Amino acid sequence: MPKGASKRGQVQMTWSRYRKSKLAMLGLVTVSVLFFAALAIPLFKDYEMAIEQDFSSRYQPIGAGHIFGTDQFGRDIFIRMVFGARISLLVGIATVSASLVAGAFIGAAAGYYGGRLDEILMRIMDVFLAIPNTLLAISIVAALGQGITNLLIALAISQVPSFARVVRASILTVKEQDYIEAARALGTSNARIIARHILPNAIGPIIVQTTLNVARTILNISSLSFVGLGISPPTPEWGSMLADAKPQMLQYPHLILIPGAAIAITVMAINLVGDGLRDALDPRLRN
Amino acid sequence: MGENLLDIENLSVIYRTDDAYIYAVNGVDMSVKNGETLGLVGETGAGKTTAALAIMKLLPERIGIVKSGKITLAGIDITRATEHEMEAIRGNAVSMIFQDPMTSLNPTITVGRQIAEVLQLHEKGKSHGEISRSVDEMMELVGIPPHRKNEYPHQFSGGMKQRIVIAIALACKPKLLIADEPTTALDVTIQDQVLEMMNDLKERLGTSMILITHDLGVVAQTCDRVSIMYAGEIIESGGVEEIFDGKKRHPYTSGLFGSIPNIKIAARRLNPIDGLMPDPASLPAGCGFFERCPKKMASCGQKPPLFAARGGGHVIRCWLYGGDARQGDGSWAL
Repeated sequence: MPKGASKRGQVQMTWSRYRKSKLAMLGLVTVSVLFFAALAIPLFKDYEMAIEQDFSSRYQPIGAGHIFGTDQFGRDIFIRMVFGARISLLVGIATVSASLVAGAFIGAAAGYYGGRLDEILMRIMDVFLAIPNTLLAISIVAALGQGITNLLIALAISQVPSFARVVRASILTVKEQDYIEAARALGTSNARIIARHILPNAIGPIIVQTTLNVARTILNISSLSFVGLGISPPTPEWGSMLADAKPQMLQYPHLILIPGAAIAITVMAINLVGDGLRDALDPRLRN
Repeated sequence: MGENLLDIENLSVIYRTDDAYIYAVNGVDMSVKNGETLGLVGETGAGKTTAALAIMKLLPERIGIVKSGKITLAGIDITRATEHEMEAIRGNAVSMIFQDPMTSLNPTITVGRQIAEVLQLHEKGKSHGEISRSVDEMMELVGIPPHRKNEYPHQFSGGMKQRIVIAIALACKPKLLIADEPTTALDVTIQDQVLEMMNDLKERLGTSMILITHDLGVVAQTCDRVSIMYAGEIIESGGVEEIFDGKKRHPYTSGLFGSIPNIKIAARRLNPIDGLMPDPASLPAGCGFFERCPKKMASCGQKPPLFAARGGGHVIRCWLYGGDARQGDGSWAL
């Protein structure tokens, strides 16, 4: 029997449906370009170029020498954007992965075993959900202190409830299916049923939620940096670049337009991918 | 009674809900001999599936409770077995086929792997190659070409899916197969093929079978013995010939046969049994069939009848035949 046969079949079906949506493909291409830029360009350019100040070339306009011009400290905006993208994407993905794992454990336990365990876990999640996401992250950063690690922890904690809810909901629908009962009737253990029969069938909404949460996290990182609680200067970060550019935004609009557009485009592209995945994975559109 | 594969004594199951106790199965006795097919007949809600789930120990957790009774399968006391012991029994000593083949297969796993999974669970010593060979063998046995084992359930028709479900259920050569309305979701021609194949496989593998159905035609075609369930009780039980020859029957059984349309008689209407089954949350004190019974007597509503044996294993639970007599050779007033 070929290994991974089941995976290939499902992935192929999903891909052929995904490809049909032009918007989703646009999102995917944009995200790929961003990832490529964020990962490949830093290989050729030094990080020093993104933070070293050069007062002889301040406020250079968009042009040949510096593609996106330079900022008030004479730093090349394009290089800073690229390194900023690296931070946004990597912190975004790391945060979401961490909260996905935690949320999946909580949601799977609550959904599969139900009863009192479900009540306790989900009421705790409800308490977290009652606090606005960004506010929760701000309070955690304020309590733990600034820094990339603390930012990551703060954002991860604030995302756990949304994952726990989605995972629980999808497990609840799948666990009532006849094939789960049939698997139990064949002597399959609980752990194996969750891992092999429930999660693969519940994965659609979880993937979609993951994608959408990456977008939301990137937005959150920028917001927190913008208000001075996220990544602090001189580290290049889109949100803090926006904040830095605020005083000169009328004289030198490109300082604010470029990072602003980058945030908007990234978040929108990832959301398009998420929407595309949602449609492609929707079981109602299957077969 | 050493040759009995399955013995159920006085089984009672209740479902506990927030506001009521549902008496789903009430004091059922049942036995299945090696190689025998027992038909379990009754209308929806009579407790057939609940009895089957109790044998599998798959009653809904915290809701379905075995109140009394003893279930012995191949010498093992099911009622006392732990969940861990049950995992080794399910799929191995006893398998169950569910009603709807469309939904009993996992849509994300190829059918070959689903057959292989049972073998991996219960025959741990087997190598990859041996399992693969067993999968091919099972697929051939149920009449599906083994080269289709890498396909997904949605690529098969309903009848073929039920064949695969049967292949999975029989892969470990269980001693007992419980088939819960295995053909209800299939159309009549496919139904016939599937039943014939099940009968054939059962003979070949020496499996005993409990066939749950409400189709008396299916019973006639496949079963050795029949138990008729009503409101959680077995009201009549006997060999297929005794039940079908119809000389002496429980009034409910007569009603069941009476409601089958007869092609030789021009009738404008069907001939159903009037009324509904009693609410299992509040069962009557007397006979469960009292309200609907065309032959009821005043005393029927006071005390539930016991079994009256007619000899040859044919028993009827009705006051008409004595009801509390050990042998029922009184006046058969049918």
